[in-house]
Amino acid sequence: MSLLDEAREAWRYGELLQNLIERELAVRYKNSLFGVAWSLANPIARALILALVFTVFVPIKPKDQPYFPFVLATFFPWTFFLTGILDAGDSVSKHLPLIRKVYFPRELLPLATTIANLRHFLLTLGVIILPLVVVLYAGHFVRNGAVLFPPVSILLLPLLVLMQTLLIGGIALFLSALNVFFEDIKFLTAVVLDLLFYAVPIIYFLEMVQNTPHLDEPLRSVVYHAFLLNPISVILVSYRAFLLHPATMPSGAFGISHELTVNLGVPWPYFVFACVICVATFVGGYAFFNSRKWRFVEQA
Amino acid sequence: MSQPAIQLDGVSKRFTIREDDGYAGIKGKLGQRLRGIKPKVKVITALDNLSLTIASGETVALLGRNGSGKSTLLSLLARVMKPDSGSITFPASADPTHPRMAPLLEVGAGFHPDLTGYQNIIFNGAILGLTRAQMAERQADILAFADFEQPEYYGMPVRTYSSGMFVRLGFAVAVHTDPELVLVDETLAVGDALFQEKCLAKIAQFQREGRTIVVVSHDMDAVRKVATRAIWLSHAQIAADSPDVESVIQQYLSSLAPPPQ
Repeated sequence: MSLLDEAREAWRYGELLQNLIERELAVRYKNSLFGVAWSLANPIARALILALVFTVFVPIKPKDQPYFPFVLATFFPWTFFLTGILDAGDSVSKHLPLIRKVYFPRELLPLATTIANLRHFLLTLGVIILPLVVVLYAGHFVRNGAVLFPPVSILLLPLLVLMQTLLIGGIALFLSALNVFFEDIKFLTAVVLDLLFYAVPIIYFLEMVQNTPHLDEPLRSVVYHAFLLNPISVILVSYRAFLLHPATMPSGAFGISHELTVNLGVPWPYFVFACVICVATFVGGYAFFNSRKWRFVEQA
Repeated sequence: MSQPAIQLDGVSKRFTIREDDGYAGIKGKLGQRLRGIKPKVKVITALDNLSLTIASGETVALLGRNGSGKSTLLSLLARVMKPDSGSITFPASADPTHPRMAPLLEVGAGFHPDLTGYQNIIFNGAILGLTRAQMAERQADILAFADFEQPEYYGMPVRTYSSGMFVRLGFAVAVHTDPELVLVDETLAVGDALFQEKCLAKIAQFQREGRTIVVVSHDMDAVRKVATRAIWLSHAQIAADSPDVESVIQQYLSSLAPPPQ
């Protein structure tokens, strides 16, 4: 069967997909009355801690504004990556008893996990990030008496969420299939993601990589372009640039001797490239999953 | 002449067994390569060029020793496996590519321990191809069939259930999905005598309604009671196949007896 036929077959089972997603969310919120509130307690606590760290313990101060919103604008999308990829790892393996007994398109399992995490991310976006952005722009109005609108590119936010979901979904399909045959994939993934946190601009800015005095040319250019070619860093940097305006870091910050304008986003050609990678990852992950899915049952 | 319920044409299924335990996972596989150990692979033929037609309304019992291919055949019918060659079709089904099936193989396999009985009923129904509305309609019947002594358990997570309750609810959901095809594994022999009676009554009802049933069992008395046709599988092939159930049972049993000295 071609990939399109497989997708059409999965589409027939939309009702089951809906049920799988709701089941995942119901289990996460443990059916409790305050379940949704509890699930928000974690991101709210993280937001408060990050705000505290980057105002009190690491007092980095761009001109006229706090640092921590720049961290939060990338940190929550990063959490979507992290949980989306980690949860998907055993989404198929833990359902092997079911898969051995009943037919349904197996790709629904990693896809349901991905969509459940997307719904959770959208909740975080709506309850924490967007209110924070509103408060920031309101604060600017109170201080300066002039209305400041968010960047126009904020309108591209839905596209960004879609790109990220496709990327996560593709990786989820790939890893969940692989984890059936190699059970240590899930642990390796956790290690890789742990390291990746520091290799994408979450607690720092892409412009700092471009201007760091600690690397000489041409190495500095190579590293900077490696960041630009990584779709995850492009997506994170774009969240930040779509929500918040550029800021000026005073000279001396991060060992850079001159004033530096940060949060300029990525050059558009790299954004388009990341788009292509996200779609390709999803299609490739789906093709890989389908090439393996009939062997899940025969495994052990 | 109506269409057959199940049609198998030249179906073969082989399994590749790796005899390299202790080298699981990516690290193990890498270590194996580095030490120059070649993975040992053994191919087992579970079904060899099997052709079979089952008519609508038949109750077919599959007999055979462990490893004779019964379970593989059942898995192929449940569409959880694909044959290596040959084809399996369901011409009599409303949708020949998606027959409505009640796989009573390991009932309750889809239950999530943290969800309540009610939630699991809806979810299990969705796996078997029914909508939420259809399951809501059937809920009363399902609960009546499961017949818990303490009805408050329906609203509790199934991890609190006894194994008997678990199986009863799983069975109740599966038999209320209006199946065209019922696959029964012997693991069904669970629950108390009263519930077993009820299960047999339900199977008898399915037979009267003209649904097609395939049963795997080692319990020859049960086979004599329900089957309208028996198939004896031996060494990946059909050794005997007849509506004379008793004769197939005798052939199978005599093959089990040790050869005379």
